[in-house]
Amino acid sequence: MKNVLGREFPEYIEGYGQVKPFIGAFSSYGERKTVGARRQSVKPASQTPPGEAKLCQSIEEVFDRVGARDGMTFGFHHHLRNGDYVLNLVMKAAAERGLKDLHVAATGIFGCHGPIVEYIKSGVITQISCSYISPGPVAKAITTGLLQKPAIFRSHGGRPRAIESGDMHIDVAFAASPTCDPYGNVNGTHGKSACGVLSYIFPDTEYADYVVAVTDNLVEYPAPPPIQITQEKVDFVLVVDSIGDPAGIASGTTRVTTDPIGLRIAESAAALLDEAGYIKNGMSLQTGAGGASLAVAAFVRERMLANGVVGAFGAGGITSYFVQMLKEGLLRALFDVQCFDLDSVKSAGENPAHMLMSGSLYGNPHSRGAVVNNLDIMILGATEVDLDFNVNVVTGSDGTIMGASGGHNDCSAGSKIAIVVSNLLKGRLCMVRDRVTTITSPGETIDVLVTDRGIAINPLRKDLLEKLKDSDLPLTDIKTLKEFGENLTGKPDTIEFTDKIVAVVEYRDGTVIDVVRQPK
Amino acid sequence: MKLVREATAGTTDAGDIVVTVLPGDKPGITVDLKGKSVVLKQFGEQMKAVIQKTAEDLGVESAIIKAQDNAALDYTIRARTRCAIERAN
Repeated sequence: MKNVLGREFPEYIEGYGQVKPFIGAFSSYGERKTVGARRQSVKPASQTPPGEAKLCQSIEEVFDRVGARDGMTFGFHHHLRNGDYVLNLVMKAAAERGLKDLHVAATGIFGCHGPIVEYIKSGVITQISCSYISPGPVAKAITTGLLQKPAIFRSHGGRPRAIESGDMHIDVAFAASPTCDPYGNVNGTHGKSACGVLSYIFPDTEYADYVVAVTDNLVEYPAPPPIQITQEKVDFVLVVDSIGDPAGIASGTTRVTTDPIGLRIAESAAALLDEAGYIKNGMSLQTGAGGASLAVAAFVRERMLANGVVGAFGAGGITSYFVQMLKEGLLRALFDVQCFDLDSVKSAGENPAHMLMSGSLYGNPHSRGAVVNNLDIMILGATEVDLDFNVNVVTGSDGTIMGASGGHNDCSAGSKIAIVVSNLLKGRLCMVRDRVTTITSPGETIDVLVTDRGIAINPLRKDLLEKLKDSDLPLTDIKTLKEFGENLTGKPDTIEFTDKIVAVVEYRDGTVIDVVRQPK
Repeated sequence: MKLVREATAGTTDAGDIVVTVLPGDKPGITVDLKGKSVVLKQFGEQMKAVIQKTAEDLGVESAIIKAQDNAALDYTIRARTRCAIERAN
């Protein structure tokens, strides 16, 4: 079958199931049901015999008490980023126990998760679903078809939607817990492995059969505020030596790019936002944490200061830049799904206006209204964009998996203006293509592409084209950008793929927007 | 143009290419191009052709050319190839 974007795949994908094809970004709203959750209730302390307390002595005891068996789905979250020890620790113990056919339902997979490739090869892990994956050993293992079932990439809003609707059931959720008390109250901003908000694991804590808090900082009851995961959600507490490597958890500070081309792109994007009337009182803004996206925030900040503008909120993964704008009073609030640096971890722990938001609150299209719906401005990156403005952030142009949707398609759908900022040429590759290798976000939700060689506005945005028709900005059209780029690089030779589907890319509403096939 | 010694031009910086030329032991120009697979898979043949043509246009009849690419564009490839050849002459 083909979906509306012309992407072809079977109606039934082995290891994934029946396919619901993508039919448009705004086609799935209306009445929605969530599934019920199963839970083991707990007697008062006076009625609890020793040995039945929440505190477990070992991961083996946790496995015994949750009835770990083959075929289970384990939930993980990635706020410890490239310093996470929890996923590896749990999967190592699962392998040693002889468990097979497990599904790792992580919100993010990083280079530090390389050790699980061994378990993919041995059949301990046969399925992976995630919202983010960084280039590394696991991404390579998926690309090269080592995983038995196709990986499933869901957006940050799509994953909670899948859990709440019952599309994906989590058997056991493992919450990396920087500070925790023996009854399962979890604080993310204190402790030696502090990583800030823990919000991507929230749907798991609501809907999983069992929730295990894994901590390296057990404190007396009750854990200090702000408590993010409360005790009534947590079955077991496991204490380990270390849940993560602080060096990999958060960078000291995230910085605006110093690359003059990146700065020029960012300056154009900010100028466009200003001319189009988006920089005004009550505005809201989200950017990626990449240097060029952050630079847009920096230029927007300057324009806010110059024009005396106070914004409503900043959202998404939070960096020191947004923390500064909050402190300066340029933004009234922050909605935070993950802290990228130490300043944001500190702010999340101290400032009540720095609010955590769950993945569902952030981007779930089948909720009663996600924060992305209130977002004015979204600044995004992209690996490739095609002539219809469809965006790829999943695969390199040689078909290698190097990312996943993250919040890309949630924010592009929700925001009033979604701007992709990028160098037109990345190395020898022109990022505007006839056809992107993999579609992650549909072109109908992408409004503008800002490059160092000009700005292309999506022809669907007639209002923007009209508003900017007399602008001095370097406006062009996307086809001209592609031709300019290809004149420098030459036309790329076609990459060949096998028929084997190694990953299924779901749109945020659970329909299939594209698949990734194994490159030859 | 006759090559009499080994010579190199270019750097390993992004967007550049290191081209090394050696006198050939038989007639003809052989090009050995290495670099990132994402670039070579899509542009490798075109890039080799640019090196080959640059050498031929300079009248080189026999050479072994080794190139280590870091995503250079054609004008860079031509300049580095020509420079290496002139240095080897």
